This record gives sequence, C-alpha cells and structure tokens, in this order.
Amino acid sequence: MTSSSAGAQTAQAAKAQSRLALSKSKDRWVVSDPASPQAVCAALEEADNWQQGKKLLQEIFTRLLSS
Amino acid sequence: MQSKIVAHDPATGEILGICLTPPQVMAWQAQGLESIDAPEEVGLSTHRVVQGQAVAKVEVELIPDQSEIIADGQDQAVVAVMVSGEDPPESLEITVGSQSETVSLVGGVGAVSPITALTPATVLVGVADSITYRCEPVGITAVEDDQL
Repeated sequence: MTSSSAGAQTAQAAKAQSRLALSKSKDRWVVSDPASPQAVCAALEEADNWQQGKKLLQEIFTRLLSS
Repeated sequence: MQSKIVAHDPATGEILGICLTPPQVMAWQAQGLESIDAPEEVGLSTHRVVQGQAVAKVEVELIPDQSEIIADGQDQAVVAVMVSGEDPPESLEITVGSQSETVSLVGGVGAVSPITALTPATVLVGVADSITYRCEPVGITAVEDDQL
C-alpha cells in the first residue's frame, strides 16, 4: 500500500467516524451512521405510519445525497 | 526525600505544573495559579490539591464484558464501573463518546448502559471528572456484520 492510498483510507475512516451519531434508545447506547443501510432500516422500523415513514425517507435520501 | 513544588488551579484543585526550582513559581503566580510543596510521588495525572494538600485522585476502573462487538444493533458491550476507596460516591458521570451518562453506584460498583452499534465504529468510555478521578478510558469497537 502506498503512503498516499493509506492517507486517503485514513481520511475516509476519519470522515466516516465524524458523521457517526450516538444516541440512547430503550436504555441502550446506539452508534449509527445516519446514512448507512442499517440505520435507514432501523429508522423505518421506528415509523408508526405512512406520513412518518415518508418524512423519514425524505430525510434519509437528503442525507445520502449529501454524504 | 526531595519535595516538589506543584502549581494548581485554586478553583478546581487541578495540578497544572510541577517543578523542583522556585523561579517557575513566580510565572505560575502571574497566571493566577497557586503553588504548594508536595512529596516526590505527586504527579499531574495521579493527584489533585484539596485544601492546600496534594491528595491522590480516586481510582476508577472501567471493565467491559467485551471490547469488540458486531455492528448489528443486537450485540452489546456492558462496561462495569468500579470506584475504589472507602467512601465511594452514589453516582458517577461517565462519558460515552461525545455524550455522558450518570451511572448509579452501589458500594462503588455500577454499570454503563449497554453499547450497541449499527455501523462499524469505536466508542471511548471514560470518566467525565478527570480532576477528581483517575481512570484509563476503554474503547468499544464495533466491527462489520459479515452476514449483511
């Protein structure tokens, strides 16, 4: 691995770490990347109705486009 | 035994400097710090100043049941908190990443809420009050879930 590619990987890892969110849910700490597929699925599972789901989907796509 | 001169913040008791010779004391005074004589074993990370005396920081041990978890939202790590000393507090503020949690203690022992992850990451757990307490932070690393 060249030093430039190692540097790029480090920068990418730092960027990924910086956009992580830490929240408390059901008495547990949850680390998530709001733009990750896992977080998207978890957020949608939390939705109670279509309106809420639609709003979450809009937020998710906004995050995905900006990440 | 050789003694030291330690400078501390009079408001918090935090030791901010240690020297063996008096000239440094005047510079500290100019910065608003107070200085006292202290035994040789006194250190920046191990002691603080209470009522003009250098005292050892209370030792806190953080013991995770596992330091690596799967980032699947289910696997979790629980960090136990153990405060040493004869008169431990009833609660202690523990930092979890950039946030904090007040952990209730019974006989100096308690536990931080379980830590889970939906994405690979490392979360550092430590003590919020690093002036009063001495503690080695622990890291919980969440690794990729291979089944996804």
